[in-house]
Amino acid sequence: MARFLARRLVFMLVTMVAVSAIVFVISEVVPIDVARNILGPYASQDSVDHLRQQMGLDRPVPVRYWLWLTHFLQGDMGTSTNQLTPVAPLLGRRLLNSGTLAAVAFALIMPLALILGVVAGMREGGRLDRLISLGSLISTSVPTFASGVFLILIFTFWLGWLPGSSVLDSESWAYQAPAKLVMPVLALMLVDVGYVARMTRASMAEVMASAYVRTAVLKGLPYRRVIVRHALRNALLAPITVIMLHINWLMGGIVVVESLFGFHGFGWMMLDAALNKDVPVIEAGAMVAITVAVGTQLIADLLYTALNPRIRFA
Amino acid sequence: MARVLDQDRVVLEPPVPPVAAARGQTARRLGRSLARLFESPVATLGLAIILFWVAVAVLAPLIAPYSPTALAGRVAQPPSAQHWLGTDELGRDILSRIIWGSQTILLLAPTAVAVSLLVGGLMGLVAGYRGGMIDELIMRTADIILAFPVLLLYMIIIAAVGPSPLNIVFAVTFASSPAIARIVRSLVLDLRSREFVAAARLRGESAWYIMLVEILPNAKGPLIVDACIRVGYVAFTIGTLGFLGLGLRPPTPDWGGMVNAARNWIIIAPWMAAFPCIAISSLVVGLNLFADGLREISLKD
Amino acid sequence: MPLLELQHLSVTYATRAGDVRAVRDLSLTVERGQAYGLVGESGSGKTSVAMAVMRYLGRNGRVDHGRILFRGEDLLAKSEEALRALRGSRIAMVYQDPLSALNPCLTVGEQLAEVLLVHRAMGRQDAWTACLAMLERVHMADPPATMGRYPHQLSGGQQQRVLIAMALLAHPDLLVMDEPTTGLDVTIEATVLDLVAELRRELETAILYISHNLGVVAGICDRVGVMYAGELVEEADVGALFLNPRHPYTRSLLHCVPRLDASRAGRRLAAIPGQVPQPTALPPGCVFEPRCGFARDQCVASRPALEPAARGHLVRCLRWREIGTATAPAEPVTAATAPTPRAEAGPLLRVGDLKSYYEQAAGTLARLLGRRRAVRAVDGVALEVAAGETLSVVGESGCGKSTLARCIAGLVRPTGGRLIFRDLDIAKLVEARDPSVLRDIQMVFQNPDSTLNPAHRVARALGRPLRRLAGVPRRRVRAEVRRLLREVQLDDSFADRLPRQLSGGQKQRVAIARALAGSSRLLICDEPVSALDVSVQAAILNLLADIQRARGTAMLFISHDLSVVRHLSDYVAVMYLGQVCEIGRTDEVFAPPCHPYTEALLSAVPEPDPRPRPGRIRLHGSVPSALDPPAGCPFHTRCPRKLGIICETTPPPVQAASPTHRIACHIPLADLRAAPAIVTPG
Repeated sequence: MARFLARRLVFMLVTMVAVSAIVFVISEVVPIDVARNILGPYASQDSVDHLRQQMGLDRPVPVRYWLWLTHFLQGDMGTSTNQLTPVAPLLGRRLLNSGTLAAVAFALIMPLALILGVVAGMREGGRLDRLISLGSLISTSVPTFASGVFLILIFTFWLGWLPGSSVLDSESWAYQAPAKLVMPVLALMLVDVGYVARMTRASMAEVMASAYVRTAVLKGLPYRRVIVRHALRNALLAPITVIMLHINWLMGGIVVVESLFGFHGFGWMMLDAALNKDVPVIEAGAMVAITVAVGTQLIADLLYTALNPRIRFA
Repeated sequence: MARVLDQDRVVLEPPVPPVAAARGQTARRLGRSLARLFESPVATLGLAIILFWVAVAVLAPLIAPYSPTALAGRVAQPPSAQHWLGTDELGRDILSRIIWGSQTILLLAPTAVAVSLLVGGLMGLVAGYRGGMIDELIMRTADIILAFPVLLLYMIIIAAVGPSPLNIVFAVTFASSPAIARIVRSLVLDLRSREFVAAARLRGESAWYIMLVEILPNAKGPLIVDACIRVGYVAFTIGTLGFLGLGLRPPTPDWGGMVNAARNWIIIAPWMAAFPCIAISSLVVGLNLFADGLREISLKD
Repeated sequence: MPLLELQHLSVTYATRAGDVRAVRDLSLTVERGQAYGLVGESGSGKTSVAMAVMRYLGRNGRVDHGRILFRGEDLLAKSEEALRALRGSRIAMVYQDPLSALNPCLTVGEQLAEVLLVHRAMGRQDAWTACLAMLERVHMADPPATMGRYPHQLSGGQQQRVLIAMALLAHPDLLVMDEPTTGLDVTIEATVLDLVAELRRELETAILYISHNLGVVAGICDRVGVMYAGELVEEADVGALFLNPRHPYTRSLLHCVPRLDASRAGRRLAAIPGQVPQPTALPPGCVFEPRCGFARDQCVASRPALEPAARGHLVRCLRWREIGTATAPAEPVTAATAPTPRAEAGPLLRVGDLKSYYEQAAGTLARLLGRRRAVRAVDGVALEVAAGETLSVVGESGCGKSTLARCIAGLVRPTGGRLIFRDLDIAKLVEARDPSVLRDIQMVFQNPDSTLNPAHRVARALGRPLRRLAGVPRRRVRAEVRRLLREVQLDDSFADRLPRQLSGGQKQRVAIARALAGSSRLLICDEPVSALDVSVQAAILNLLADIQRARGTAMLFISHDLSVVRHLSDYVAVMYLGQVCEIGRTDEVFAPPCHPYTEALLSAVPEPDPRPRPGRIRLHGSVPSALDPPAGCPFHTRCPRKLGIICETTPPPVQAASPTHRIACHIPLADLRAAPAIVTPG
């Protein structure tokens, strides 16, 4: 167990360093002149060169990477080339908002998806299974931005129940305006519930067809006991990894809904940075994203290990 | 040695009549698979949607009433006899833009998947068959790429290299080859231990012959199903990139880009966003229904 | 009133190709306390009968005709709730493949106790105590510890004991056992069968025992039914069935099983030609008619009914009266041949002190830190094979016999030792060997479903080695393929088939043809018949023997089945934990003096003969891990004749019982000679 954990942690570190290097190389080495980008097309070549020197862009790549990494580790994430403010405080605020959105969405998606998946998988091929399977396939197929547009058309344009945008004024936090969270969360749920439900269904259906469920039935156990005690735990084992990895996917969805609903979060910030080539923000954001991603992977591994006796004792 | 006899409980596949002639069998098998596909109404519907959009894309020059980039009427007009789906913020005909936009996505998505399949397939094949350090190297790299949130990866790549069809294909390949490599590798690991591979080694076949002639044909089925699922997924992504402003440069007709341009008009002129959304959704739903039907058939075999 | 009565039972499965009748018009009766054995090959419908009795046929299966009376009540008319009360309580089941039948996430104790919690409404404490007692009853070592373990922490034999205990907890009236020993090694199988026999004597429970193995059924059942292609073809008390079989199928089946006491010099196996018909394409008359040596026109025209041939002896054959007790004129019986004398020219293959260790799967980090644990699959094996002779290697799973074969073939790189073929050093992978060795050493594999590439037609599977190994020019390949097919008794039409259009036996024939394509001089056969039904097995064994005789190929035959080995070999090597414990001429190995392990193996083989056998030796415990083999003699942990401390500390000396017969054991030869013979000399 300790060895397993150590291995995972080493891999985590390696991944983070590797990703930071990849992101650094992609964003800084590809032929885009950052200095020119900041100063605009009409600046003189002299001033561009001067800025380059000031920013240290004339130094070799490994040196620049090293400088960036050491600064980053000390909490200095650089200055946004777009907004010309330090990245760290900007990032903190945005992360909190997005965190609220993600937490609410995750807390609603998982139970719903697991229940739907288990119910569908209990009787594979039954009427309920076919209904849930088809419904979840269709809802995962509709791109997040399209679901968002449909939601706006229904709830804002047609029914007039909800605000069509989730713009927060600069003083308030996401949790202070729950009504503004409803549609972004709904849009995320439409795509993600279906996905996780399908995974769970497949796993549950496989377990229901297994020899040990047959043993449980032929032992004369009540149906409830067969499901709850024998099928459920085994069926939820496989999707755990998928569910936790799904946080990666949820992050993509968050970019889309934040952009669509004008929600001041991390995703929108990243999108802005990407559109405007704001390299320090991209790099810092990427590091945050990879930390979240690798962290959830670790949690998934630990959960899986804790629930699976075959690994625990191996 | 363990001796496990087949259970005689469930006999699913009738034996193939051995007298069947050798040639023309591939065609017949294809026909049989299609016939089975039609048994599933859901898969048939999916195929119908796909064929509809393919027809639209192919016939675009003939059926589109206007040029996709022409300012054909007044700005933001609701649907009417002249403009069946209305006009957009610049006065372009939305129907024509949707018709031409189908070409973009139907060309880009399968191309991107095909390239990823080539790159990822090769990675997985070599990693699975060679094993050892090469395997470790390839798969650890794949793990690292897979650990990163996909959409953010696309954003970073496209921010760096700029939006263009080629770059979208590159970004999709970069992000999805590792997943394909993983699938191919697990298939190869299973197939590599089969006895027919040992038999090939015993007659001195080269590693490439074994990988390409002995192993690859047997991984075909699952890979086709995976590729179909992936085309739907990539179409989803390309739409999303367009919506985020990371797709093709305007004025190229691009469904996601159309929604992006229409978002500020959504309350005033809802048709501007609604119709491209319906177009992309129906295409992805169609692709996924078809892929799911295909997967179910392959599971029954 | 009988305990269980099946009346005109028909079981049907709905498939894509329409309905498939797996069981047709089957009637049988199991009395209280009786053990009824239902035997048949794969596809006979025997498992469907068991599952119909449990009313668990899956979503596509149904009983569409007949009644299943349990204590006079029709099970088919019962509600789910009423069935639930019977299952696990009055009717219990034991399954094939015990590991997958146990829930991987629950401890053995939890899985056992819930039977009593549900059916007997017992308190947790009482249930626990009762479970401990039952584990004790099935001779489980250390019941309290077992209760806390997870299924994967038990050995195969232990898992099956747990399942048996689970089935017996509620003292059911009927125990349905579906191939309970099928995946187990022969020495483990023997102890499990002993347990079943013992429980049967002491408990009131009736048993419906489903098996493909005639020997197993002969040992523990009172009454036996033989199924073929979904029908019961013969039913009788065990003695009458085995000693005086009436139906041609039963008789052929008994004849085609190789026997321990019939040496190779005896006769060819009486193989049954053809294969079991598909349930979708049954012959119009008697189902066995296409393969029956006694068939006449009348057998094609009408379907026989089950009729009494003697008191309590039912047979489904139109001609049982005329046939009497004559043997079926199936395949000609060839004259006895003497064992091939060892060639003067010296051995073709010499194996000296061969070692093959492989690393246990470990993570990257562990490997980097140098933490390696080696599994000693083959640990110092020495043997020789001369041109034209057959050496068999026998042993249980995990003894290293397959790794030995793969080392010699060049699929696995040996860790140490010598491998000399002709005069060439071949202790390396096949890719690094001298090209001239390639065509000389070929292999036939175990699993018919993976031995041929599913994507390639037979013509290609044979054409490629013909061109590569025999250098046949392209235009002559087609003709050569046909010649090869004829050699393995397949007609030309097979050339254009895909593997999935072949039966298991036909695939194995093609695989043999492939190995012969380059006129190999050493044929390595790794369990070539163990995945086949007995009736098909015999034909393949005959084919191998014929080919060897005709071509003078040397053969290294790997098997777990002593009867097959005895039938086929000139020399036999017995392996245990990576080492050869006995090697010699076949007749020498099968008669005293024997290594204690050989003795136990011989004694464990279930023979299709209900009469009691002399000398019963059982091994306890399971084979130790090859990661950490015992010091001294590897067999000392299970040896029933262990001398004492010397066996635990000193590797045994190799004693020569004759110029060709060597035994690695501390027990003096004289003592080994004095042991009674397990097998009557053939």
